[in-house]
Amino acid sequence: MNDEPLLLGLREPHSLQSLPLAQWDRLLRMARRTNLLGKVAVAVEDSFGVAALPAPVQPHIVAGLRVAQHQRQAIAWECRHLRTALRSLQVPVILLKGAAYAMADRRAAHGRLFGDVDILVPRGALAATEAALMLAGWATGKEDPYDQRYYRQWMHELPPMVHQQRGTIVDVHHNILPITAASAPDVDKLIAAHEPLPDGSGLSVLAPCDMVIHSAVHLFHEGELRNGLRDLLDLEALMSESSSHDAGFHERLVDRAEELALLWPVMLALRYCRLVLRTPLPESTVARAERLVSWPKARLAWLDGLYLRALAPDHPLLSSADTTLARAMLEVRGHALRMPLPRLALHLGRKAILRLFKHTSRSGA
Amino acid sequence: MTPVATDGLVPLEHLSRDVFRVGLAEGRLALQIGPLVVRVQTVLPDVAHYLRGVYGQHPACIDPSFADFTIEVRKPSNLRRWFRRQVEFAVEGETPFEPLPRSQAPALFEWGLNWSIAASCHQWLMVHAACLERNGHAVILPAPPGSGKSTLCAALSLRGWRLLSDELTLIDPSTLALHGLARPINLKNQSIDLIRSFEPSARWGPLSYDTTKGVITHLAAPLHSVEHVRQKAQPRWLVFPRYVAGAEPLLAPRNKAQTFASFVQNAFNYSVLGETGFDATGRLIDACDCFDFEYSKLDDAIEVFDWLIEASRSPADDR
Amino acid sequence: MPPAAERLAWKRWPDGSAVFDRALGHTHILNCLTSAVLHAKLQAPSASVERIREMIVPAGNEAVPSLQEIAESLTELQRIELL
Repeated sequence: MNDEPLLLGLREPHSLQSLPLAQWDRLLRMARRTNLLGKVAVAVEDSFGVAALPAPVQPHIVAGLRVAQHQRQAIAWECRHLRTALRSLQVPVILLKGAAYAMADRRAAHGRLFGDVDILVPRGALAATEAALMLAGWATGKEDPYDQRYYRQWMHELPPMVHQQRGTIVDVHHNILPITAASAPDVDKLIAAHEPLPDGSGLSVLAPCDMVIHSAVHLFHEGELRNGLRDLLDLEALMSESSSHDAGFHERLVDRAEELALLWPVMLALRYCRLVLRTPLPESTVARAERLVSWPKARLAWLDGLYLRALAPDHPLLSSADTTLARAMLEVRGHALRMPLPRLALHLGRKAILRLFKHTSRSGA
Repeated sequence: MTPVATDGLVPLEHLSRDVFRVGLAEGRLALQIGPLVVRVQTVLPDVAHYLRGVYGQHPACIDPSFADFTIEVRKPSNLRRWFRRQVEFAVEGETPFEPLPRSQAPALFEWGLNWSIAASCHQWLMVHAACLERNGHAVILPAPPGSGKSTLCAALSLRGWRLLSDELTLIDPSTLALHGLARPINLKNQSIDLIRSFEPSARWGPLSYDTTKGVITHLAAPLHSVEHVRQKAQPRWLVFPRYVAGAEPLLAPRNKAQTFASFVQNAFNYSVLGETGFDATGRLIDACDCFDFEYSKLDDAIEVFDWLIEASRSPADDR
Repeated sequence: MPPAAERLAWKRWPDGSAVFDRALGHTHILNCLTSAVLHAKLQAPSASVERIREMIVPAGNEAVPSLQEIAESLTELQRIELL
């Protein structure tokens, strides 16, 4: 897996200059599948430029750059709309994930695809936030009353809100993990440390350490790892950018993670950035994180087995029974972290039935 | 983009049946469709038969050094196949659509290819429009389904106009050059009979099938269109066609600002291209004479389009 | 929000114009009158409706637009956030 042209190319963009055409074929196929074409395109553009590429490859990179550029603009436009809608709120509105990276102009945003906009507000402001959004044209998409309850009662977010004209989606969070999870973090600490954006928009982002911690929590609690590699690349970009002007960043990251009792996702993030992306990290910090989490070697080995395979680009070229099995297992694990088992079984079971019925009732175009 | 010499492209029908079938089954067959190299995989005999029939003159090879897409038409590999006979389309292992009834596999290939192009070819401004060229000038015919565009396009392609595409017009946003695909034209119901009597020598795809919309079949792109597909063209006319039963032909000049709006409504990736798309569309509208066209008889339409060519020849109208 | 003059890309024709709003990514099609009103308002942001009418020079034989028509154009321009 580590020889995959896609990974090599993202780690060492200059190496792409001498990549044979047949390897480009493989790389582009992987990149499209893993939503990383934008990152490849930006990497090429930043290191040696499209013109140096073989002719058949150029249109793909040009297309990737256009999509990345459009996405970047679209997220800015959407945040502008959000800012206007939420202007009246007296509480911090904290952008999360992709939207945060884009508006804070972090390297992690380069070449990235953005989906929904995620925001974090204090729990007490949830009703006001929802009302303000509805006034500005967003509406809750999920009509199924069970799903509504699932979101409002158990999850750490409102059901996704869809803008009636633009079709864009905003996810309003009041914590970064579901409230039923055993280790629900003290979100007040995260909110207290928020940093307003310099553009005067009134929107904020998490503090640099907290941004990494949130990204790690998100990655290792997610059921589906469709964007796993992309998320790992986000983590690596965030950490390397922060540590480039702050030599003690990794140490402070571990301290903060410990303070928030969210050390194990950060430990795994450091571990897999090193194993999958070969990110240079201070040995002592990584060792300290692993020591503090103090999981038995066997558990780490088992997780390695799951994650190293699951973080691999998912593509028929790489398919093997092993990869499929790993994903199936992680699917269960992700949810188990978020909700205690009995409630989970009910939720998953019902969803599974729904999916089955949808297919049998299809009448074919 | 010139094809790589070492790939040894030959017209698809020149590959031996065995090489073709095995290559196709193993996902090693590639078709050159205009500027695109498409790797195709299928074990379904009707799809193989269809491809050999309508893409017979397109360049092809086994094991291309580079392909722009890799697509597969196959039976679904899960629970679904137990409920009814179905077929699904995959591109890079992703299945963007729900499966279709098994009998529509060749149509699924075409729709899937449309989707693959529209979803990723942002090196171009892509429009849902027919596009044909004559004497170096191209006409773009944007139209929603049901406007009779495909029938009109088929007729023009059989009367001296080189077919670039009946559905996907591809425009270079900086030069406005048009890239053709010369793919089969999808026709249904009465259109099929109409074109058969219009041009008895036309080449058709080997299969037709019944759907909820009626009978569908494919008209192969004329040989001349396939042979010259790499020849670029510059846009000269934007014509919005509308079939109106019993109508006398009417070619009415169009408001340019309004045309901008109508054009953008038909452009798949206009918003992805942002200001580049805005700028390209503006220059395109500048460069073209824009018309609404109402008609009922194909012969009338041919006459009107012949007149466009005539008018473009006279010195007074030259640009 | 950058000032409107930098925000907008224009394509003008005798029968109307297309405007690209860089700040929000929207494309608008404006008729002749609304194009002229927008153009005038960008040149003189605090111009009154009467002043705008003075600034708009009708092409050919077109009747001078009424204050009502100009006001409606202004309302429309505000609705689509160009002003």
